Amino acid sequence: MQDREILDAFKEPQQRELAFRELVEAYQERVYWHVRKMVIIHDDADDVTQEVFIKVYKNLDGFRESSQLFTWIYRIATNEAINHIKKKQRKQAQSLEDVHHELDNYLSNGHDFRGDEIQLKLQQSLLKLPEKQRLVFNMKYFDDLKYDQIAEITGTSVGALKASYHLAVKKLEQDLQED
Amino acid sequence: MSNKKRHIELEADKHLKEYPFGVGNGYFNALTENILNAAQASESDLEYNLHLKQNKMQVPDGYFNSLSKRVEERVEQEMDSSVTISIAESKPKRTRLRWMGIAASLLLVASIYFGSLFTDTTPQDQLAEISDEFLIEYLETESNFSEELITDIADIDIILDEIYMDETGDLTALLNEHPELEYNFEYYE
Repeated sequence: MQDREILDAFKEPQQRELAFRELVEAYQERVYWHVRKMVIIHDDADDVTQEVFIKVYKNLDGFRESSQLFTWIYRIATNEAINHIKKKQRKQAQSLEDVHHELDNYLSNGHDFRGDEIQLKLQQSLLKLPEKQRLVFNMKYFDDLKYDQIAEITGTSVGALKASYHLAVKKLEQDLQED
Repeated sequence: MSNKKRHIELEADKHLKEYPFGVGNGYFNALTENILNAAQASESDLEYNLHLKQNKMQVPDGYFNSLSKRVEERVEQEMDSSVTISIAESKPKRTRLRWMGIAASLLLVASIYFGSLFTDTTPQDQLAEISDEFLIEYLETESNFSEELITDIADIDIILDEIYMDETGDLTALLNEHPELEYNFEYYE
């Protein structure tokens, strides 16, 4: 099913469940990986991914189609992922650095991560970036999204995104060159 | 058209044997240099070291096979336990909750303050009379208000944009004043 068919079918009560299943199957991996790269821990990514789709289900009727379905879902996933990190920080009364330190340990201990030394170093360096810069870097570098797509997802101008990506790349390369 | 006839046409038609793909002007002039650059790129070069782009995070076996089913179950549970509220519709409710929270806080403070005016006990004494359970419940209610507010997507956008402007404001302003510097970013496109 294409996005158009999913949206049309979702409006029909009898086809709603089927349409939603199609939607989840079409987007689950992209949403999961987008979230996972932000929250790092698999169990957290699993929770957030489910929350994203619950929000999608509850709000799909109100989706005005001013953007692509994919962009809209990514936007919800982005907000949920960042929201999750902030909630975790508040719940554990930790600073953002503490949360990042915990995630760093999770990666270093090899939980669900099979990368080599340099790939691990990149992930650890990414954790030192501000949340939104990390987000922009992930979408541009790993997901190969275009700047105008990222602009739509984050509600930020293309110029600012280029600046952010440029800064992120410089910081990361510098970090990788150290040691 | 029979297979035989088609085969004969392919063999005979030199036009069909011409390579139909095109490359940009000067592509091959730059190719050697690009390959050499890539070969000499250090391990930390993000643009050229494609090894770094690989996703090495893993998920449990069969995770994605069961995910959609679990999502459906969660949605069913959610729909059973709550009425669907669209983001737009939920705003008045959140506003009401916010005002209820503020009113409850004011009431608590006022009752302690005015209570202390007409009795000999101090506010500290009165606070001591409130059970720990009540205080914990009260604080949890308060933190729930914060959670409600924080999940408002529009609010998050504003917060994110403020953080973002702090991070990139100087560079964006510089680019606005000196658009020629934008050239440096072509490399990353």
